[in-house]
Amino acid sequence: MASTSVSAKGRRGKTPPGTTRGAAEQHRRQLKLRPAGFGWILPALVLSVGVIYFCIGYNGFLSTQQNKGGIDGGTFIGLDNYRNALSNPLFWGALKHTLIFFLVVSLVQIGMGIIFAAMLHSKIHLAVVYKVIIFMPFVIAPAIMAPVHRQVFATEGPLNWILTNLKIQWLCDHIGINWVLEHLHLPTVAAQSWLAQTSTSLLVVIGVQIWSTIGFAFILFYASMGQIEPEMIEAARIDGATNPRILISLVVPSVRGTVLALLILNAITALKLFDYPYLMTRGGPVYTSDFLGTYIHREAVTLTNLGYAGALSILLLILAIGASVVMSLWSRRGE
Amino acid sequence: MRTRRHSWIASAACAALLVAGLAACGDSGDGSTTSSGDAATSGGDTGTGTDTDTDTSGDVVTINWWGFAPDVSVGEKYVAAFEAANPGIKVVYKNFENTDYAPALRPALQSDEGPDIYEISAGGNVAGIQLWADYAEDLTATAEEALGADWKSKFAPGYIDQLTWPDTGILTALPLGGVGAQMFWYNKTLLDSLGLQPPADYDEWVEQCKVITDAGYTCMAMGAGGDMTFGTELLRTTTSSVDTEYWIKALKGEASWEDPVFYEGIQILRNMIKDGIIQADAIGVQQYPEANNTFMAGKAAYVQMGTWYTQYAGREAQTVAAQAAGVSTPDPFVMMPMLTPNLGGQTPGMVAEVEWGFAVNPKSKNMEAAKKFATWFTTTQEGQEVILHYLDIGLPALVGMAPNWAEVDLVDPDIQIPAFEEMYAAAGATAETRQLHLSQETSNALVIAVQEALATDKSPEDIAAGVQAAAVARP
Repeated sequence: MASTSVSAKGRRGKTPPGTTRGAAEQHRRQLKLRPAGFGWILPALVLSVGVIYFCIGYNGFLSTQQNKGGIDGGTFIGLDNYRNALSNPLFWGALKHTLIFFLVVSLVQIGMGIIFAAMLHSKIHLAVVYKVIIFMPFVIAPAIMAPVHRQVFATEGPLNWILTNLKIQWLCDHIGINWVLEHLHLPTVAAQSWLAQTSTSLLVVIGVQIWSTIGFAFILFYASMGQIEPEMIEAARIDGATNPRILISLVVPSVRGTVLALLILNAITALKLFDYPYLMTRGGPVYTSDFLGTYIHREAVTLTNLGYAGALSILLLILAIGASVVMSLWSRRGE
Repeated sequence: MRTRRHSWIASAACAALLVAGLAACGDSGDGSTTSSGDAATSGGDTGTGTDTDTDTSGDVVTINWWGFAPDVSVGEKYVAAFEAANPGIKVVYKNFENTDYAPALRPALQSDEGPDIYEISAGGNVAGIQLWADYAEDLTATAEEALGADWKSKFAPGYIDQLTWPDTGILTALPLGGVGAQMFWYNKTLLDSLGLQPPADYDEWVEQCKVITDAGYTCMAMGAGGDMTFGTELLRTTTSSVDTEYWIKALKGEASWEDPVFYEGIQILRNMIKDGIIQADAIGVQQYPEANNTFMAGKAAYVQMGTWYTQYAGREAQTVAAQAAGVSTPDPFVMMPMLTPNLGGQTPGMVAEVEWGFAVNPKSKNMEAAKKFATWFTTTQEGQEVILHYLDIGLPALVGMAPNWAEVDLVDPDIQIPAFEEMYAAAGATAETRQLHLSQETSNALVIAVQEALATDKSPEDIAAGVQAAAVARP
């Protein structure tokens, strides 16, 4: 902003012709208050205010109403919608799923992204093919992939076929993996109705999200690792560091900025998640894969509780702003 | 200075254009769609129906019809029959999945660009009268004009009352016909090949399902996932198998959902999936398209659907449905209706009410053409014959009409026609309605109750308590 606050006089070095000194001074002060590039951002400003901020404001207005979308409009009920939301277990359930989603997706995505990127920075054959394979899911739209995943995870689908016919389920039973999972109250590696169970629906949504975004994390880490000086790695090797040691002590700290960027992006994605849960499970069964996005959609569209949905949207906005602020502060502290 | 001023003018112009664009997106004005002569633009057959409600080209008027039923293939035949009988009116039909109908229709009706014709039914959360009564033109005078002073008596009993909104007394829609439910359909060809007959009671059904699943088929196709309400019809059936009069009382608020009858109904539903009657992943799929496709593809022996399923009994319609389900060269099977067997001590009969009616948008710019469309199908013998011919609706709206079975290309008419006549007779004789007393809140609570019964270990008492807490009675 400061760089654009240049007055007309400052730029030309003299007062505009035909003005008195006092008027020229006043004109100069006015121009100082107005950034020189303001005119150019005006169309974007109109668009933002007209669409985004107006909608946020209208949502806020709506959230104070009991509004079923009828011709008569709504009735003012103050903050009742917010009280109802904060006392509703469905809201806290959706928030819990959001948190689990954020943690699991971030952990796996960052871990696998670093591993894939490190592997492809080593000299391996067909590296370009691997890059394409890893990145491809990221560019395919959820609307296209969701029906495919519904087939993959169907009871008679290919996943269950693989688990059964390739003896993976048998193997997990015999080496004790399923015993451990059972005792941890986690779904076992076995053919089952993945989308129809309360115990597995959230897992499926998380798995699909990881599958579709891991390529993005991989590309970021791959680029980030390319910035590490080869001499540093060489020096570490001369000092006797093994590959895992180099990865943990040298590479990972060097890509810290990318990790933070991914955490911020995952937090925002988790809060506004809608596509995969809606298209694959509709938030069910019994709300077990429900997120704030699907919850708001159900209240606004299916049940036409527009006021309540407005309150949920404002709460979502507050959470998103809060998450962004926390992440930014964390990022700055790290720097 | 000139450059600076020009930049301001340019940016202000851009801003003004944006504002104008936004304003145009928000409202096109009430008269802006009127067009005439060759200046008219056509929405064509794309079915979008939102760009030109008043679309005249010469003497042809185009009206838009939005509906959740019938299927597009049947809807197109309705339209073709109407257009042939009413030259000068062109109809564009847009079909929605049940769950998409209300979300699309509400903003359309609130704008000036909505459809001319849409559909209203007696209840439920798709086209229920309680959702759309505020947006409907009163068709009382139109019906009287078409059928005379005693017009009400010419419709099947109850249909007009069910489409009249009690708060205002307006007739929101003209009925096309009636619908019957609380019944099943079975694939007779499949059962015959396995040497089976429709079951008489629960135990017989369980034994039979073992044979069917051992042969590699699904016993009963069912989709209870998502927001669709079809699964709740099975919960109603199991509950009515315990007490045939309880369900309507609970819907009206005359009985509590926290009742032993409802508990037992929930338990029977839960047993049906544990005992292998209902497909194991019913909660993971939706009735449309998945469960419907399973049955139409010949992969399931039973499905719980209503009289509207008669439309698939014809060779042509079933072939289209099977191809849509992924069968490349379908061999149509014999579809037969089955009344509810004894699941919990009782054998509940069918429930029936007006299926849906044509409503006219008060903002339609082609009001006369829209009313002509609504009345032609609902008040004329010619229109009713078209409706009954395609069997999406088998119960006529007008008294004295009946399907002409000779015109329907059934797979095995000798055994299907008597069964269909028996089914329609049962539907016509019942006094119990289907969705008339079903509020949106109760409907949603029951959808969750079905999911809880089939996918959780929650006790029937706890499930019922959830329904009781969320339900809103509709007396």
